[in-house]
Amino acid sequence: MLFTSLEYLLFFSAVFAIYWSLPSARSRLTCLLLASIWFYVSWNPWCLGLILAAGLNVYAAGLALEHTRRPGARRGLLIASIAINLGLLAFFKYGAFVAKSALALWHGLGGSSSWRAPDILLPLGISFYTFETISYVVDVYRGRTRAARDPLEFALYVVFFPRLIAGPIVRPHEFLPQLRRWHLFSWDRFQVGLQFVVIGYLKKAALADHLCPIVDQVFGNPDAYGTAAVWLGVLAYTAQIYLDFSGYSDIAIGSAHLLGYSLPRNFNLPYLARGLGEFWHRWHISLSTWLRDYLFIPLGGSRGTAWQTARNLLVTMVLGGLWHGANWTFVAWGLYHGLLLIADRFGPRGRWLPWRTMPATLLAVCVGWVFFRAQTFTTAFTLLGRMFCPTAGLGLSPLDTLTVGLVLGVLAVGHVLQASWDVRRVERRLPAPVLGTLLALLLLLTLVLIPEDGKGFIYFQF
Amino acid sequence: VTSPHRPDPKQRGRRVVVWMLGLFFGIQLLSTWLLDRHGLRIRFPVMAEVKAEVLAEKPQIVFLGSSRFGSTVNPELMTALFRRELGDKAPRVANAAVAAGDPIVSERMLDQLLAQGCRPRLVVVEMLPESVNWWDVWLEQQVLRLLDWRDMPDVVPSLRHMNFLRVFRARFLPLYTHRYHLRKEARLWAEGLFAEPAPAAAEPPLAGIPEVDPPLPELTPEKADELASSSRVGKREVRDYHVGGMVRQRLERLLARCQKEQIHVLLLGEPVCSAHRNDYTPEIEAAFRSYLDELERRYGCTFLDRRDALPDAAFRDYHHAIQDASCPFSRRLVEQDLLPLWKRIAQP
Repeated sequence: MLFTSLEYLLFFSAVFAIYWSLPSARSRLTCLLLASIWFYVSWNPWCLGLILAAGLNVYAAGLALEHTRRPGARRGLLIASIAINLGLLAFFKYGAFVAKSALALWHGLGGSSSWRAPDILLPLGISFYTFETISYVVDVYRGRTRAARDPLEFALYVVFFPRLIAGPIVRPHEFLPQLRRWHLFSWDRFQVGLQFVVIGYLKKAALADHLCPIVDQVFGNPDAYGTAAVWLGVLAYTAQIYLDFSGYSDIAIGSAHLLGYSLPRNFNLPYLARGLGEFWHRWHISLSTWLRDYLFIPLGGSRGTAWQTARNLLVTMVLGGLWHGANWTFVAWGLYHGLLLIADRFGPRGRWLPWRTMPATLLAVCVGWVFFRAQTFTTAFTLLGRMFCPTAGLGLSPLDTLTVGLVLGVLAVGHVLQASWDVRRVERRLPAPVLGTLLALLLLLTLVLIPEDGKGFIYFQF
Repeated sequence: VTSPHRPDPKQRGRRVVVWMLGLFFGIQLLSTWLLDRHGLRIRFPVMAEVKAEVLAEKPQIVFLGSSRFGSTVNPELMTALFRRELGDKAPRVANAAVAAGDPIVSERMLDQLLAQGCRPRLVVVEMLPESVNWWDVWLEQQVLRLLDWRDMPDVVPSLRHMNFLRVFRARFLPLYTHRYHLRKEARLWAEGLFAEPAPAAAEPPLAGIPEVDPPLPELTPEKADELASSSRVGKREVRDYHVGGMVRQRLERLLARCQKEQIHVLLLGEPVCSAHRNDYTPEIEAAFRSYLDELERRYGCTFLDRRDALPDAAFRDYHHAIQDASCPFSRRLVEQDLLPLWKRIAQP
């Protein structure tokens, strides 16, 4: 059930109507839990067992941590519960990758084997809910959050459907208190939620999905295209991944708003960043802050020597790259960002230094996306070679070029407008009929532009 | 204290939402109304194309039906055969059949042809037992591409057998449902703004009459198996057989209109393969025949059974003939059935 499908709209409408008509907080939570299970099961019923196992493990660990005083036992509980959930993630996400890499190494060393690495089904959303459950148990261990006693509340923290598949990654102290509050229906909140959903649909279905075939053709056959086409393909992917993922996040945040819940913001005009450090404060914010709080800082953060800080940055970014997918190209992407972050941190300071300008940062990010999107290093290096050494080859069709140009134009205007205006304030000043008409026209435009073959969200594969 | 001249800010959210949803569904409903009236090219482009071709032909004999007619009726050959026999008094034949065309589509096609000044003297309507089964496999498709609000009361009894979501989409979200053709039309329109006007195409010469029909292929055991397995799909079309539903109603409306306009109607039992003919059990056949007798009595039309006119080797699936089969079938139909019938009709 894709967010952009009519099935989701009907499903959500039904959940919305039932949820707000229920008289008690408990019945509403039950309604949301059943809806979330239904939503998840509609993808793959088998994976429900896995999410239940991961959730039960952490729920029990949280309760046990509150009843245990001995530091050694608490530490043991924490490590065991994290190890179980990371073990599940490692097996389902990286099992086949590790087996294939080991087999390739064995063959490279001259060994022979008829054994084939197994294909393991990747459960949807596993990377996201694993991180959420880890942040829960760590926060309980640190005493930052009290363990949830109510299994209903805890289950909903793990499976709340608007953010179950691809985030934003929420922290227990942000979400659990919301589950304990009685929510009153508010038209203002309803309006804000609708706005998020409409903008999300526009980004995903009307803009990102039209770039997908163009990106696929360039990344699928990089040898055939000339420099200009490759640049357009890479820029198209730069726009596509932002519009796709931030569109998803907007729909998730909007859906949660419509049900009276707040989810954290995930993007803040990332392509206007000056410097890689600033980029990571603006891109996939819920992941970058998670990596900072639960990986970088526990590793020592920037408290030690420059060498230790650089090491921590590199480890964090490489693991962050690997989190995105089981492929060496993701590791390379993480390594690339880690090295650039080290350069950003320890290089000369100053806002107007050439590498701290917006175009230089955007260029660095675009180069990174080549590793992120390419299936193999051969593809990535072919594309980079053609980007930076003028090469003759096929060009994109005029229609494809126009499509990329239009979407990039819309993206650029959107970024600049949001950066220069307080959009929320402008929106508040608009008369209700004008704002209502604008939203209706945006939604109508989106409906007409939705491609016939609905595309999945890029981040669903992570 | 809220000023009496300024709207209560607490109500603003509600007003925005009401405006948004009201306008959104208002425009959708307006689009439904407009597309129902003027949007055949967007809702049902195939029918719009076929209709335009038929109107350009100004035919006296029109075939109405589905893709089955598309593969067995060769209108150019038929016109040439009539011309050989009747010279300048020969009628022109046009095939107004469209893919998934049931009596609902046939009735609407005739209605639109008449409305635009095309008045045939003979209409040949495809007629098989499944054409009038109460359970119309194509009804969902027709809701999407042809039916309008006035037809909805007739659709309601069949709703429980249909995908409700598709029906909802067709009526309440037309801009989403027809987005592909809307975008295509917009693109064509934009391209047309800059394109040079094309010179008018000359009328193609009438087709010649081949001396010998192309030979039909041998029926191999594999082909026979393929036909048998494809006929399992056909079996579904006659399940729970009884004559009725919207298709019956529309067929009778078509016949009544023809009777009123003094257009002769030939109901033609179109060739199907033997495996599918076996699906017509004696009970189905009896119900079908008795209904046809009733139609002949009430509307003065004629039923011509040509369901076994082609050997199994002439089929690509249980009810579609191969292209080469259109020559022998069209020739036989004209020489044995249509020519005598036309001579009778054309008598002053």
